[in-house]
Amino acid sequence: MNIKNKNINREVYIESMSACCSVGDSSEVIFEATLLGNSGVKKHQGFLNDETVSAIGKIRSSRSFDSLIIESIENILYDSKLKDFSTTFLSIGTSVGGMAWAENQFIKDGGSYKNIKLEKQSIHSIAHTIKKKFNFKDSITFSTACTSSSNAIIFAKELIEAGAYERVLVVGADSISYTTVNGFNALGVLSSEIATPFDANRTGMNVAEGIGTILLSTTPSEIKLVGVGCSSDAYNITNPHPHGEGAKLAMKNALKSANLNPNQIDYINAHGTGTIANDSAEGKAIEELFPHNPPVGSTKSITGHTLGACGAIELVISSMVLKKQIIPKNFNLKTKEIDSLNLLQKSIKNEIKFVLSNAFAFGGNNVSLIVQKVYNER
Amino acid sequence: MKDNLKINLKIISSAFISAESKCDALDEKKLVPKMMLRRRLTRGAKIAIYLASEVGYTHERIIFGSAYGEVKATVDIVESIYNKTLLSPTAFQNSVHNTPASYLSILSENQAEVTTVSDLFDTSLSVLKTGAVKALRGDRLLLLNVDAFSFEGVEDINNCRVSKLESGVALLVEVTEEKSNIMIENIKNSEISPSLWQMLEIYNKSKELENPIVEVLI
Repeated sequence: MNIKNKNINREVYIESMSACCSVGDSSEVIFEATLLGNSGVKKHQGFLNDETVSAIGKIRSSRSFDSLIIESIENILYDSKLKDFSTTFLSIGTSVGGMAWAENQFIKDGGSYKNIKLEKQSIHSIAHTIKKKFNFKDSITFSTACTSSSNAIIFAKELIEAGAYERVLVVGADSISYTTVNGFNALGVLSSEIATPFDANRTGMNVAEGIGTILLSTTPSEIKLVGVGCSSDAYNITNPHPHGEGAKLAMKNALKSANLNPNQIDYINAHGTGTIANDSAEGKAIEELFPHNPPVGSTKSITGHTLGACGAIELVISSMVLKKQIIPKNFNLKTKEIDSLNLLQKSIKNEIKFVLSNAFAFGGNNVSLIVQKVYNER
Repeated sequence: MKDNLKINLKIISSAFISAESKCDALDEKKLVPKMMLRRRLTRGAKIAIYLASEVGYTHERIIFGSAYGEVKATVDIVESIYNKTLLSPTAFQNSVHNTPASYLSILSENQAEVTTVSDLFDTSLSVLKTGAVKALRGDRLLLLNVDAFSFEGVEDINNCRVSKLESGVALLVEVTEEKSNIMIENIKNSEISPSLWQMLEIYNKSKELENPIVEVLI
């Protein structure tokens, strides 16, 4: 038997999905917010060291972030009708892990590390929280900054295709921390207003928190994960390649993996953070690779940028686009920077078969995912 | 219960480095001739670049693992937050877990896939499992596992009391159908962080074999 390329024809479907972020705690509520233009990004004081106001996407709940992760997984268990997760693999994506807990503990202890517990501070903390409640067969945590959960999704697909698992649960989760809010502020890319991705007058991005939970499996469903592609910019640790070369390569690789031509893509869910550098590079890459001019959108003016969770949350939103056959508008967009990009300013109902979703990260780490609407398989 | 998938990886080359406080002789000037880039590198990045060079890395896909990540940058940030001072943008951009692998891809102008895993004391095993599944595509992969956590105050969190605060292992691998001659036994090493144990075990066993092949259970 040739072990190379073994089983790569196994099809991978989204069996169940759930999301929680600043605009709501279900995929339906979040998708409706994108259609209505209800942004979860609000102005907050107390996150920035200089006490100025920042616009961030905080989950409105009195419950802990950990309990929201658990609830999100319970929703999947209920929806999928699985007895438990004892034969399921857990693939996690997070960029900060337990950083928020560690910051608070460090401040509480007067600047001492003595009570910093690695299992609660580290990237592994999300897995630690989940495995205390649920019995998964195995798990791995991916941490590639803002592509963390996208890389977790890629690995989930590879595990299923290899025949190692029938089901993989992907959890993308990042909570708000002083580190990320102050860090993006130090880089000069944090906006004090709701972000306006792809707008000529955009002022930056909004740090946000969120949880995206996706059960991938071989069980046929309405949504199929047909393509994954990644690349490295090999250019700069924070800035993307100015012509979006890395972004283009990731999208090309995803198309190749799905065996699709660019003109088959009906909608592009852009990474679209609202920073000058990201939107310009991504816009150029899309413009060059997709001459048929498909609708392009960013939902980060609604959800904020949920960092390591955005890949999973936006795959949920992309799947909702396919389920509802509606493309959400670019909320808050007033003046397009790249005139030729098809950036919708009103939500439209359309026939949509394939959606491509991008996520890009520090270090020039790029991931593109493609989902397909499947008819009459369930 | 379904049996675990077994994937055999041929160890084409391997390298290891460790130091109580700081690994020296990392050939930084030779490996990173551009001074501006060299000055921005984190300790983890310098170790990763050195190990990659030692195993003959060129443009392979990279699977990187680190349990604690960029500790020095993280400490600088947390102390800035505590003291309400401005954060260093360099500390923030260098604070993510994929920093060493990203610098390696920039230095080598490698546009291939780079991914990073972090599972505390199981990190090394996660690098191996991730690498084994990805290796099914048939290309060579660079598996890297680095932890560098030397900072003032480390004794408060170094509960395992490991003596080597910087260490790293690299394995250049490809999938094979040949029979394995290395089984992972989870051999402990009190000097090195547990996050590196399995890959260190493979490195040590590889040195004794002509054609080392490890069996990875997924």
